[in-house]
Amino acid sequence: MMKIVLTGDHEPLADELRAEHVGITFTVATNQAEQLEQLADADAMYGWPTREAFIAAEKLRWIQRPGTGINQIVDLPELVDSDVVLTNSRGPHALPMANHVFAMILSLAHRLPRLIDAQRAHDWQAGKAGSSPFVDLDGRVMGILALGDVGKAVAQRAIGFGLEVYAVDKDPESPPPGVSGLWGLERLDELLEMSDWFVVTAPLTAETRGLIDSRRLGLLKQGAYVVAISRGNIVDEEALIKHLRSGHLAGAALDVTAVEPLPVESPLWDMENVVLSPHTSANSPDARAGGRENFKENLRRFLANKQFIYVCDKRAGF
Amino acid sequence: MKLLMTMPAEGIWPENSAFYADLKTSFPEVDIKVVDTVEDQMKEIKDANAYFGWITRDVFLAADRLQWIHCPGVGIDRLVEIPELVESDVVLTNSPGPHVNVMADHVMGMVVALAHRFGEAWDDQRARRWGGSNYTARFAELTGRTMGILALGQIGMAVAVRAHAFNMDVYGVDLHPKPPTPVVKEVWGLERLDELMSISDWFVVAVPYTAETDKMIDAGRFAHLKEGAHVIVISRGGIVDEDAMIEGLRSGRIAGAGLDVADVEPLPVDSPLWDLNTIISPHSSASSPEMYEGRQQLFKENLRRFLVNEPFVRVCDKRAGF
Repeated sequence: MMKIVLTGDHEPLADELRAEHVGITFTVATNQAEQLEQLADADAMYGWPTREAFIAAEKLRWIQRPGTGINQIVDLPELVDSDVVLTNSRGPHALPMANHVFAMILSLAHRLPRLIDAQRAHDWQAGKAGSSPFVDLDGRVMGILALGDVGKAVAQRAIGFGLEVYAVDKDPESPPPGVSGLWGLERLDELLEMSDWFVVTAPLTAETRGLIDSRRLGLLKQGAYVVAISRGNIVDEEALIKHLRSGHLAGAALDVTAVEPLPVESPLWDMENVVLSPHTSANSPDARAGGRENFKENLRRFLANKQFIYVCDKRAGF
Repeated sequence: MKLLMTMPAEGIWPENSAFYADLKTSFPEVDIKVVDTVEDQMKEIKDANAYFGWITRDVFLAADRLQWIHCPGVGIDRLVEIPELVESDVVLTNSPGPHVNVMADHVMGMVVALAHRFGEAWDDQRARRWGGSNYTARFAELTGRTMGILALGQIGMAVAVRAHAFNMDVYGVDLHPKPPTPVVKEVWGLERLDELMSISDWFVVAVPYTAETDKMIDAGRFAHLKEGAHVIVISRGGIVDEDAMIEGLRSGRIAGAGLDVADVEPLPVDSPLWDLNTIISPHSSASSPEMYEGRQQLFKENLRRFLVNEPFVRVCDKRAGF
């Protein structure tokens, strides 16, 4: 009998699936010991396996990841080398992630931290822009590192603000409508040199780890802003702090950091021109529901032997 | 020809001195007087032909030769409260264009900041607290949701363009209903305001403040607003009944509000609005250097036209109030 394991707090989802697929066993594993035990004879899983559980899984053919990033795969070389298919939820997550990018951009451009501080103090005057005027988006250049689902959604929104959008990607196709240029990664330095807003949406892979280092941050325009939405460790955090402190960069917004949770002693917390959010960019109800729908759809395809949606390239790491 | 210029009422910008100097060089034939206090204005207005700034009634009544007033802002509600100005032949111009992009950005900034709980995120950051799972599924959706805009002037339209880029369905009401555009599904007359509110997940007030719009969004109207909608007010505070909005925010009928304007400004220290699910900015939505530069250039162009008797870039309808 076919068996599917769901890791995490997913009993309601398991109940739905049991009703839809009679004759298939759905079990929920809420800790690592349960996962190790349950995965041993499972055919598929929703979640992410520990290495030990993956190695012990004898029948596993498919893993559906609820999130988007699969950079943890570097710790699971056995998965890369196996025939197990890996799918993720990048489609449903792209829209709230792109909205989040603009919440971060407009927080920086329209000085939201100052406003919130003034609001908490009930102080109207303290919220005035004064010596830190807003930054107009219209006519400025946005550079996007990687134009996948998230990058494209960011680009679409940016065009609505009158930003001029350029991007680099590992596989540059013809640019989507409104995107002024889409180049290969070899033109990353050029992209940095022209960007007023630089947005990192690339997956974390061997190729992108530390890609935006001190030298590359130095190529950014004086007064540019950096936004990171995909994974920490693509932008060198130490170098970012240095360029923010020197005033070369005007600000940064990070939904992801090198170490998460961000260590309490990190200087990023207290920098006035830094906006942080705790890896929450895809936290909209629709995106979470969409992730579950995506799994349900892939499950139907799995059972009918049809092609999955959102299949990952395990070697490429996304 | 004499031009009387006053500094903006608040937020004195260093660029102003360069601007005044530039005007003196560009228009040597104009006698330009830059004054600050009302007392000095009363003296200098007597024989002035033109006035740049927000004129008060006393200063207006002291003018004998005034032909033209240029308002550096968009809203002229305070100026058309001077009945003698409305009745007079003095032409009133304002500066809508340069305000459009930055104000529309501010509206969308409030929308996404409310939707993704950025006020809370900043409180967490101040406390060095990694909020993580506190935010789970608590963001508000924009994709496929409806934005209703009260008045589709330049600013309302610029908001519509941005909202459309977020895959929102945009509807609007306006004094002058117009055909739909690529970014606005339908534009209705003001008589369908209740209906607009009933379909809006995000309701944006961008209408000028006039006798007609005074307290237009009152308790009765809020009763039509879709349950759990967010409200953004960008034009003038007097259009919204604040007590009714506070009531809605407290009951949860209104999920959150972004307010750049208040009925009384500064917003009183004891207003409950400060501590509800709101983002408040102090009538500062247009605080970008491009706006200041743009409105200076607009005035310069209007002054050139005034001197050669060409029609102004845009003339306000003093009776309509915008």
